[in-house]
Amino acid sequence: MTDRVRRLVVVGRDIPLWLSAIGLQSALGRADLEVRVVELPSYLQPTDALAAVPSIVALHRTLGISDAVLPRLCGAVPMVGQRFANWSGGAPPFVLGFDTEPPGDGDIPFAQYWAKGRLEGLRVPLEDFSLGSVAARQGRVPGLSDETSGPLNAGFGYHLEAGPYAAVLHRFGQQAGIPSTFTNGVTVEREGDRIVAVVTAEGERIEGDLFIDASGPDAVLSSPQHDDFEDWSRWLPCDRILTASAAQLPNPPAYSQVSAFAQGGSACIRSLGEPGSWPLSRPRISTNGALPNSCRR
Amino acid sequence: MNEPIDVIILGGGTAGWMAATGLVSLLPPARCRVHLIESDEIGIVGVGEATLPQMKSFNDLCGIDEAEMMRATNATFKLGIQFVDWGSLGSSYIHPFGIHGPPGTEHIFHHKWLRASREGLPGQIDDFSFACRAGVANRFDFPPKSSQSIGSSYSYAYHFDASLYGRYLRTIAERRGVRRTEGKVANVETDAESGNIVALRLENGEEIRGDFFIDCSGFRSLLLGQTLDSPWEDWTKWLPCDRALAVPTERAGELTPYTRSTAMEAGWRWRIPLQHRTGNGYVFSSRFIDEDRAAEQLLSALDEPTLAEPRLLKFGAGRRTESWRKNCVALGLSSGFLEPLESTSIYLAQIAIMHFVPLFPERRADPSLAAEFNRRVDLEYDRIRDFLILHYHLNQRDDSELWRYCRSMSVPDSLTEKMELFRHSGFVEKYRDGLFTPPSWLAVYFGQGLRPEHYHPLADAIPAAALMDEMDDLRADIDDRVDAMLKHSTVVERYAGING
Repeated sequence: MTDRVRRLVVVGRDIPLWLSAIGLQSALGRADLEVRVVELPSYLQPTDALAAVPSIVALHRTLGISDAVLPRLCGAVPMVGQRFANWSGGAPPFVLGFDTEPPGDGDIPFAQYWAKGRLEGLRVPLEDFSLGSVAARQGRVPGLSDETSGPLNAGFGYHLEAGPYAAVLHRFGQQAGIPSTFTNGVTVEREGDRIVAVVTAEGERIEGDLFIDASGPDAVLSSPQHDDFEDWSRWLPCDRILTASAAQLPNPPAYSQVSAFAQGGSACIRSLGEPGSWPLSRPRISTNGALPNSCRR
Repeated sequence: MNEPIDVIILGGGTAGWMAATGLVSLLPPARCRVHLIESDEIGIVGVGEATLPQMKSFNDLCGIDEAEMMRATNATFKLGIQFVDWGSLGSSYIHPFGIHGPPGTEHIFHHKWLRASREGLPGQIDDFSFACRAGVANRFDFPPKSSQSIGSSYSYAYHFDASLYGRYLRTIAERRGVRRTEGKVANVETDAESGNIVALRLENGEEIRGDFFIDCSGFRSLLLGQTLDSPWEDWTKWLPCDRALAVPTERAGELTPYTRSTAMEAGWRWRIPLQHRTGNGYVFSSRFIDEDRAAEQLLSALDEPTLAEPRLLKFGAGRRTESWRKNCVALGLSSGFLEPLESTSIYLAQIAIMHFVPLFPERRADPSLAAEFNRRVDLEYDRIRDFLILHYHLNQRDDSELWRYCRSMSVPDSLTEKMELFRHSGFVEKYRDGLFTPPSWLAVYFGQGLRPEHYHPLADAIPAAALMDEMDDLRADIDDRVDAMLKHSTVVERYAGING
């Protein structure tokens, strides 16, 4: 087993950097794997906020990160669903809950029965049969008590302030003993196709057997000879994000709001939050919006 | 909803009666009326005497009483398949209906075993599979429900008489409202414009009209193949066996709770213990042996006296590229053939029914339903095909031409990729759709001599001595539990004995 990976170097920034380093250390540290981090300057803005789906709860549990500190340290509030507004003509907004589908019959899913009900005059929308959607609309958090039993199951994720969350992970990683080097930039040293080391702007050379690139869109470890980026923008045309924050709402809902806007011609602004109405964190609200190029000009 | 849809099933073999039972049990009467046409003059192939655990799910779903079904079909239990002489002459392993190691450790157990094996642990990975150990000890018990112990790490299937199973399902299906007509089809009438099948005209002149047709006519594929021209994809370059000689022998003294498959000079021989007799057969390739010699080899290898002359079957591996075309779905042999090496014949008919029910069409079948059905069925065939090819390809035998050919033949890319992954790092993909979970792949890889170059680093997380102790304890735990089980033949006799 001479060619086994012993030194793993994670190069990147912010949340992906620390989540991957902590995850790998936690899974493989026992197996004699040394994980180290090369940290690049943060790209996070004070207004940046995150909506994390329920898998984050299981991830934290696996990694041993206590969710109890998240409200205080990064303004975390449970996210029970996502409310989509203005996406389909004049149709009312709908809430996508994080839950299991109500039981159907054998291989026939519940939605088939609902569709039959509609044909026979049922006026109740499908989301009313979703524990997660109804909980989100009523501002309740499922899964925190034992009241939700039976075949229905719902979970929740979090709204988080991105910067403070990254700081929590950073601190956790350091407490877990992951050595880290902060740098303003790296150059990559290769032998053929293989990365053998990264050299920091300050001149430190860090060797490794395996490198993980968590640097975001910069992809600092990607080979300049292999530009294999696959462009999907013809299907997903949004390419800019504007973020802003405002004062906290008096009664923050348990869902995130995803609103579609029309902005001149056929241009469309997709927003992660309706301005002024999206509670992302306790200290303040934050809204994100993405404007097409034509709107920016 | 309007009038129920008239579904016509052509053929009353195992696939036909499974389809009839499935539709009438799983769909409400307001949705479809089922009418089955069969002829007593046309025999059924019925070699599929060994099944997979999915068979039990199908029966449960259709509300079939297990003990009654077993009595009606002379059934015994099955915990897996024993493969003798496959990887190399003298080798033997079991492909179990269960995992290796304790429940919840599937992701790492075989890596730990591999390390222990390198550290000097004797034996095979089979020693750590409860189903394998119970199998070779001729023991059986029903797996306990919802327990995390090693004693619940398996499921089971049946050996049965497939023609009796068809007959048994017929009584159930007819009781539940399936109409049956005896007769042979003289002519298939299609609509000139749409190409859809409109009616079957029988030799006695009777015309049977329907909205949707299910072709269970066997190898002839009268509707899908002959009438609707669904193309045949040939796989014989990978699976060269094209003949089988089947011969029943007397009941075995000890009922093994596993099927045995012994690799032969030009194919392989099955042995399936039933309550009243033992099913045997030799699947071979006519390219590598002639029928007389094959019969000679088969007869001289039998464990019990024969009850009849060997019966010859001819086939070729492959499938129709569209199992659903126009207003017709083919099930079973009329949609494709894969040799019964992994007992998949009945499974393929069953899974096609299970895919068909959720996609059940309106009176005019939408092409999107057919496309989705075909995508699913293709995947099922491809998965099984690759798994079967693996058995042939992964061998070190040098005693005969078939094995040399199979070892050197090029195999589908989908299989090469899987083998390379395993060869390098012991990784087995856990795919979502289609048959064969990682324990099945592991059983064949290890059983036929493929050892990965590396095991996962996590297997190094405990000291070697502790690992060896853990393996010894596990082996002892399994063997203690197996010792406490009843004999398979005793359980069969008490639960579903034909004389009881």
